[in-house]
Amino acid sequence: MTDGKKTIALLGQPNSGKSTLFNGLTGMKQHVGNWPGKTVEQKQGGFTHNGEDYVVMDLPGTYSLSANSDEEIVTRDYISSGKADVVCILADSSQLERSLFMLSDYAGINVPCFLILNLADVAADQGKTINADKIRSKLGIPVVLMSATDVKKYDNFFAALNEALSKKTTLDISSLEEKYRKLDGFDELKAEIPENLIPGCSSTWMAVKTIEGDKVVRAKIENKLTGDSLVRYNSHAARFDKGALLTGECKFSWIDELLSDSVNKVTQTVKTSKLDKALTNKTWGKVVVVLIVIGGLLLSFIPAVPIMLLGGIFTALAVPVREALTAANASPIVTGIICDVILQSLANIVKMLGFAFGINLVFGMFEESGLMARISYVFDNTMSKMGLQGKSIMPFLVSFGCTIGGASSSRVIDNWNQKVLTIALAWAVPCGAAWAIIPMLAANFFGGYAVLVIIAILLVMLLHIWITAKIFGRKLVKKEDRYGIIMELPPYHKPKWGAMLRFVLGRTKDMFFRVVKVIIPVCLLFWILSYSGGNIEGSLLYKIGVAIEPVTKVFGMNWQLFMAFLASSIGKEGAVGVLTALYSQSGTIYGAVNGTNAAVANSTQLLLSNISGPQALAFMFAITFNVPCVVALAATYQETHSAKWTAIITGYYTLGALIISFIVYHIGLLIM
Amino acid sequence: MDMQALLIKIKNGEGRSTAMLAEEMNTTPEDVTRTLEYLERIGVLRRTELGKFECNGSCSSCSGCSGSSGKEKGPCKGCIPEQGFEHMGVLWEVKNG
Ligand SMILES: Nc1nc2c(ncn2[C@@H]2O[C@H](COP(=O)(O)OP(=O)(O)OP(=O)(O)O)[C@@H](O)[C@H]2O)c(=O)[nH]1
Ligand SMILES: [Mg+2]
Repeated sequence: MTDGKKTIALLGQPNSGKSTLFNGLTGMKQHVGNWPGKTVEQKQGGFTHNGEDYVVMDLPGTYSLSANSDEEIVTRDYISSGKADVVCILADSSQLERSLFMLSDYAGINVPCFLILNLADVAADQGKTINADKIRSKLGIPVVLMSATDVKKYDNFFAALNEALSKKTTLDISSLEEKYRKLDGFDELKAEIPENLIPGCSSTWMAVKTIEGDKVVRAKIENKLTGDSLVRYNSHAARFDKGALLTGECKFSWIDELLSDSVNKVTQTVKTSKLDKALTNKTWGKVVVVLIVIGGLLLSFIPAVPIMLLGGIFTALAVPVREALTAANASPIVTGIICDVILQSLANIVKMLGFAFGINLVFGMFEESGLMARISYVFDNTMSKMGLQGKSIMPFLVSFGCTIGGASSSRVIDNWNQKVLTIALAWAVPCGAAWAIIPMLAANFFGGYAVLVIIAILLVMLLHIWITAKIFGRKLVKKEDRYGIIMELPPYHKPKWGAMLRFVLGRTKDMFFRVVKVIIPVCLLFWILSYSGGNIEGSLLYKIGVAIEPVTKVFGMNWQLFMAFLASSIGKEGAVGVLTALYSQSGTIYGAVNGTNAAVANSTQLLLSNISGPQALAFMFAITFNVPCVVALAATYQETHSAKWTAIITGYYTLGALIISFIVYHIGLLIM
Repeated sequence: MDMQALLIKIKNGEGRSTAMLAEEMNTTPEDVTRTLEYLERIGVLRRTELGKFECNGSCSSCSGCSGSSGKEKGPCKGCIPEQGFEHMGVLWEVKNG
């Protein structure tokens, strides 16, 4: 009480409308917002009604009156201090089963109170009819169904306020107490706690908080109890382990009983969609997901094809340009750099961007629509079996764009072993560069069959992850560390096309500049290294190449492919630069060995006529599953802080890529 | 709802959606949601919003990534769409111990 004015405290969960009511009453402009925790400190205001002055306290929104946060402690201390004459408890009518929790936690505090079922308009929109009188008869306090936003209709509020103040209405908690009393040891514990030991609090309330392991309440009680009763209190309290589960059940079931015959909901049966049913099916879910992802990859080709064709223009352009330059008596070096390095690199880069664009668009759509959440849900399930936290899904998804990002995003995983395992597995996910290069090469070599190559890569990825999890998981994650998970799937959305297209275009543009910066210099370097001017014996590259070829042939790669493979460990784009240089037409090792073949118009055709199908296939798999790039390696070290594990993972992937290459080559020989 | 039974169900490692859980526990999705929320409050479950993730900027050097420069914190625009993975849903995990 303040100078004879009555003080009202507004108590409720975040977003229950306390500040809205406060503003409605006082005419003040307390910040109102629909994100939780808007009101951080308590705000005081005043109003006059029927000649009476009132003080209103807008308390911070808290979930309950437990000791989970400082705010909750401050709030309940304020209430039990008796500074408020009456507590106005607000609940959100549109979700009473959840928001009445505050009321159930308040039960047992002896300060007079009344209940506002706020946001009545929202509940009505949901088709709910709420019988406030029935609730009132069960609770024994005034209950008002209202909308705090509708300032003109506060009459019922004032009536309830007056009644609560004049009759000092307190909550009838007998039915809730009955539930508590069924808990083993509740009565004995309660018997040791005198009423009002903490002012304003009943022994039931204190017993409940004791059971919940509320340290603040326990300390207060232990402070005041002495001798035998303290010993008995402590021994009764010790009987409850995870007591909050038990009291929580009591509170929720009390709420349900309270609402059972007072809320009528037009039951709109939320039907699980056919797609969700298929996805969450234990046996078929994974198959459906894999089919959807494959479908997505196929769809990605639709926007990709025109862009890939555009790349071909640069290749075609090389022919007239070369003729023109030769006619103009340009030096062969200049001609070579322009036609073989720059134009051919650009051709490859544009083709690469085609698929990168398509895949970003399609998978962006998956994400926007809520489909991606469902896809990852199915894999979460599997991941938890592999011993990973559900959070690991994000590093995996990010790795589809970039392994470096994937490794850094594993930071959220707090268990070191699981983090290492996550990174080790994320390396097997082909990154954005791989998703650009492989379709480009595959389309060059196999035309329409490129689709099959992409699907095969996806399936090998799954196999790779599975095997890697078996190999690394055993060392890293113990069975006890395994997690159970639950996921709340978001509703399906319509994608926002404009924003998405802008994002995808922006990303493609970024990729273009980045890739140009790698491919053209690498290509130029290797072109110069391999530029022999006719004297191949003098070329170091050639000597090394020929020397290692017997070994590299085992893995299905000639020395040129192998060098590109090596370059891919630094950055996948590097491989394209190397290949473009080593198979360029003029003046290079290739040219010197084979002579300039007039029938072969450009280096794309040179590639085709000099690399067999199985070799090309082996190479593609090798670079896909190779070490992602040096920066990813650095990021891995940065996140794991372990040179040992970074080295192990690097060695594993290098070896793995060669083994995969070997196997793919031999399969290729069989089927081609 | 029997929260102990719920926790045992979750702990056995099978992933499931809230809707599935509601069906298994013979209750409503709202009941499941509020129970999960409660369990999170008392520190038994951990909640992760899947789409929310901080990039430390070290991915700025990857292809296809515009990177977030050292100054601006938050997700890297190149690795994650502008609005982030907004529609990835929410995940609850049982805390160990
Ligand atoms: N439709 C409708 N909206 C309401 C009503 N009461 C409040 N709101 C809205 O609900 C949101 C949250 O209201 P606040 O008054 O900020 O809630 P609060 O309880 O103060 O929240 P915290 O300060 O975070 O604890 C705001 O957007 C309000 O405009 C109502 O009766 N009907
Ligand atoms: Mg507020």
